Amino acid sequence: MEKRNLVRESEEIAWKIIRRKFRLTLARYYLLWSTLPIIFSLIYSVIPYSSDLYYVVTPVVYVPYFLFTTVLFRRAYNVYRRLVLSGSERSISRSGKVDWFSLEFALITLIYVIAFGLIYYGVATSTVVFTIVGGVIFGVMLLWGFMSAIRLTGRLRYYDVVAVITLFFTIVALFIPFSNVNLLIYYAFSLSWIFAGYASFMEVQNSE
Amino acid sequence: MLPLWRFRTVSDELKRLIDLLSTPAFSNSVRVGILLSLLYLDRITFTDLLKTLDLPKSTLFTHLQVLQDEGLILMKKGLTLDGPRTFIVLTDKGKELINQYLTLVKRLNEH
Repeated sequence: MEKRNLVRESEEIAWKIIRRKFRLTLARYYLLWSTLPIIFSLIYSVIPYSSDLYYVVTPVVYVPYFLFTTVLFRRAYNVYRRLVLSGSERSISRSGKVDWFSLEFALITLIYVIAFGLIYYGVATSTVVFTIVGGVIFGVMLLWGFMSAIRLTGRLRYYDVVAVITLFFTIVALFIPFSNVNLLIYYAFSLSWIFAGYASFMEVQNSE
Repeated sequence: MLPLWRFRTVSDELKRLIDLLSTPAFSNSVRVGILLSLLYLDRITFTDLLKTLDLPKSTLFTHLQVLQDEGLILMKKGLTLDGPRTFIVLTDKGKELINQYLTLVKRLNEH
């Protein structure tokens, strides 16, 4: 009985360590992407909208964001793959072996790149269908990754919900003509993600 | 009811698990928990563990020292954005033993 308790307690301790790491990863992810609208508003105050330079600068700005996101989530995805996709979310002791996770991760990254390429091509050539297809793929992938990360933190917090809602509206805003409404949505996204990042850090600190 | 040969297998596995849980590294839930999390996270800092486990620094250090003395983990200094930190990683022996532990627990859970 004592040994059985030891097995159960050690699993709880391991989960506690893993969940804390995931909340920290999520906090960094929130803070990273919260800066994007701010960076764009600074850039677009200098570069005129729809100019040649606009189409060159826009994808370049995304590069460090995707790189950092890849770095942040590669390890997180590895853990997610081992614990959740193997059907062992509730029991570390019943988890399966990891196969092909690097390949899957590369495939997911490739889908993101293709989606982003479609959006960019659609905007650059004013072909709405490419923008919509790219946007839908991008949105679904982003939400899936995001929900998976939240799932591993153990509990969905209200600031996660707010972040998902503003993310949804931000993706929608990509498809409507640029106006003050878009600006409002982008700033709401920035503020809610800064708050979610801060609250996530606080959650980790308070769990000490 | 289990056939005799299955009963022997289960009994052998149970004995192996009990033997493993009687070793200094596996006889404490904190130490096993750290080993399990390291298997999934690959590496973790001393500060992270200290904040998560809510243990006195000296107690955590003692746990890690036991694991290091058994050759299951390595503690090494490294730099992070938050400053210098002590990283804890599993050794090959650590990986082997924690996988062995998981296999035994998994098999016994199935019975």
